[in-house]
Amino acid sequence: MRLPVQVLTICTASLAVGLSLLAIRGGPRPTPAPGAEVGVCSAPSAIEKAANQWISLDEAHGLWSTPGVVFVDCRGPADFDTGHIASAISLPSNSAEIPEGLFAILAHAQTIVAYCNASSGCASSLRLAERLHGLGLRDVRILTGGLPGWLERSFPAESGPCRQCPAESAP
Amino acid sequence: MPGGERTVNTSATKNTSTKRAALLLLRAALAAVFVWAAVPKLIDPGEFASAIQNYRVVPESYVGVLAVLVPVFELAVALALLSATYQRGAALLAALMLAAFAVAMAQARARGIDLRCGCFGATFEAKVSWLTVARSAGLSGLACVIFAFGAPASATHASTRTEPSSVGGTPPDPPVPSS
Repeated sequence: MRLPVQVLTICTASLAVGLSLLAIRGGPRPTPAPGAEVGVCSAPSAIEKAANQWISLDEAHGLWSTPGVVFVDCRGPADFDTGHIASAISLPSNSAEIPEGLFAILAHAQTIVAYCNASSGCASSLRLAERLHGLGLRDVRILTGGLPGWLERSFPAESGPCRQCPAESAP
Repeated sequence: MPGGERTVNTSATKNTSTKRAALLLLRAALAAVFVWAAVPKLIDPGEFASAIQNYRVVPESYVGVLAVLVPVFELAVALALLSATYQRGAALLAALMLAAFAVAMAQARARGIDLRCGCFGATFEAKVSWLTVARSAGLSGLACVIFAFGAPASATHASTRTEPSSVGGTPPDPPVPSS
């Protein structure tokens, strides 16, 4: 059998089996790394030096109605409008700069809880948390499980544009 | 001289047999490595997805898909390595895949990212180091050897049959058409 045919056969067979598995089991979610393990997995940074930067769904829910606790949605504006944690503010992790009004809210917050989609492993939350740490905000947590986990537990959620965001920063 | 022909024939056959046995051993060893690597990833794809994500070279939306496809591909390559028909194709794919792994690990080391290898699942976990880079590169070299010296079953049979004719034996069989 010719070499290209061999290669093509192996690739096609793998792809067929792999896609079937994906269709049956769905794409796996990256296992969230507990705070202590983050240092093993990624580059040393300010966020990794902070203790307890990960927060569980139950703990976050307990803090949700506490004054001074701000939930930050790191996803894009369209995702935010579709559905988000109630009273969260929208701050996409890839936004070029943080609007002044929004930063004032964050600067006055006692605790910031960043979240995104668990299916993406909340890497964007980690990036945003690193960024906020760099700006001097110390208590920035990352929600383990993200929005899907929050919704699975039927914790408060809403849809539509950001109500808490200052006018100039609303998506 | 008939006796001399037999000596040459015997020697050539021995050499061929030794070469084939060595290649078979290499193929089995490489296949075992791939099975060893694939099974834990298939059992716990979430853990492997996490490992892929930490390399920071794959867009987040592809992490889950890769976490399933890579171990399936590894398993397919392992099976194909054991097959006489697919051995060279499998060796080529194995070499490319292992080279890609080595490059991914090397870029992580070069960027100072301190991460787990993700090579053999969580059970036999090791941090990425230049040693793991060298290991992948070495295995890739091994796959290249199989690719270079391994021959499809049809070609192997054809060469075995034509050997006697080169030293004055019986006429060769007609060439076996490759499928």
